[in-house]
Amino acid sequence: MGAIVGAFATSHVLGAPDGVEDQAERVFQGMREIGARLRAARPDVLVVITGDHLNNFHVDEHAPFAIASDASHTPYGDMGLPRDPIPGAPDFAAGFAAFGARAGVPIPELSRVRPDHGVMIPHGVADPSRSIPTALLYVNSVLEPSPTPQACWNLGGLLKSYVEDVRPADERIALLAGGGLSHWLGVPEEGQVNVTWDQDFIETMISGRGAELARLTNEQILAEAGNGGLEVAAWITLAGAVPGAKGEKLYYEAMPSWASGMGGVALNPG
Amino acid sequence: MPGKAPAGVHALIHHLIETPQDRPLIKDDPDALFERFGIPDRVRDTLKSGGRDDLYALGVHPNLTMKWLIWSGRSTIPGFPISYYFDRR
Repeated sequence: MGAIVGAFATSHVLGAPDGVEDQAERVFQGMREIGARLRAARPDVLVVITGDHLNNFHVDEHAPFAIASDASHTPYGDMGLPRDPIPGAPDFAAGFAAFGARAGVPIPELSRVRPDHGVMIPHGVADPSRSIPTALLYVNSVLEPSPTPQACWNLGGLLKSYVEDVRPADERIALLAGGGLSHWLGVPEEGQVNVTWDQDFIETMISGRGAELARLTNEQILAEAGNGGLEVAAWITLAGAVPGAKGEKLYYEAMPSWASGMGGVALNPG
Repeated sequence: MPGKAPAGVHALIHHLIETPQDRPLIKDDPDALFERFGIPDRVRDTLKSGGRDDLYALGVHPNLTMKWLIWSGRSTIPGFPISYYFDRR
C-alpha cells in the first residue's frame, strides 16, 4: 500500500506587495515553509487539489471533479507565471479516475490542461525545480452547482482509499490543496475579508475536526466567505483524505488589497 | 448573480482565453469582436468602459469579468511582477 506522507493547504494567489510588504512577506514565507515541509516528506507523487479559473473549463461545461492525466503539464501562464512544464503523474491520475468510476464517483480524465495560478502558485513555491511527478485534481468551485462540502470530503476519502488500497507498496504521496480563504472576486463585495470565518475554518482544520467542515453548505460558505471562498472545497477534500489529522497553522493574513484572506496549514497524516 | 449574461459575452471572453493574440482588439477594435460574437448593441458601451459592478449587473461570470477587466486595462486589483516572489523561492 502507498501512504500519504504530507498534507498541506494554502491560498493559491499572491498579490502586489506595495503598502503591505510585511504581510506579503509573511504570506510568502508561509508558502515557502509549506514547500520545505512538502519536499522534506520526499513524495514520489504530488497531488495538487485545486480549482480552475475558467482557463481550462468552459462556463457551460460542468464537471464537479476532474483529474489531469497528461505526462506533463504546460502552465497557462496567467499572472506572468513561468510556462516551463511540470511532470505529470499519468499512471496515478488515470488510476484514480478508474477507481472513482468503480466507486460511482465520476472523475473524468483531462488532457492538454494548462494549469493556471490556482495550481502554479502553490506548486511553483512548493516544487521550484519542477521535479516531482504531479497529478492535478480539480474540484469545481466556480460553476454552479459546486460539489457540496460533503461530496468533497467523500472525494478525499476516496483518494485515501486509492492511495492505501491500490497504489504500489511504499509509494509516498503528498497532497497540496490550493484556494480560499474568504474572498469575493468580480462582485461588488470584492475586497472584503471575513477574518473570523477564516480563523474558525483554519482552527477546525488543524484541530482534526475537518468532518465538521463537510457539514457546511455551499450557501453558508458563499454568504460568509464569498464566491471565492467556495475554493475551500479543496481544503475539505484534503481533510477528507486525512480524517482526524491535526496540524498547524503556518500563516494567516487578511489581505484586502489582494481581495483575499490568505492562509496555509500543514496537517499530520500520521 | 443578477441574471444571465447577454448573448455572446461569455463566448467572446472564452475565445480570448484561448486566443490571446486577439486580446489587443479589446482596445484597438472592440466592435470587430462584438460583431463576431453577436454582442447586443445595448451592452457594448458597458463592455468598453464599464467597471466590475456594471459587468456584474449584466450577469457576466465574475471570473470572466476579472479577465475582461485585466485585458481592458481596468483591473480592480493591482498587478505586480511575479518575480518579486518567485525569484526568492
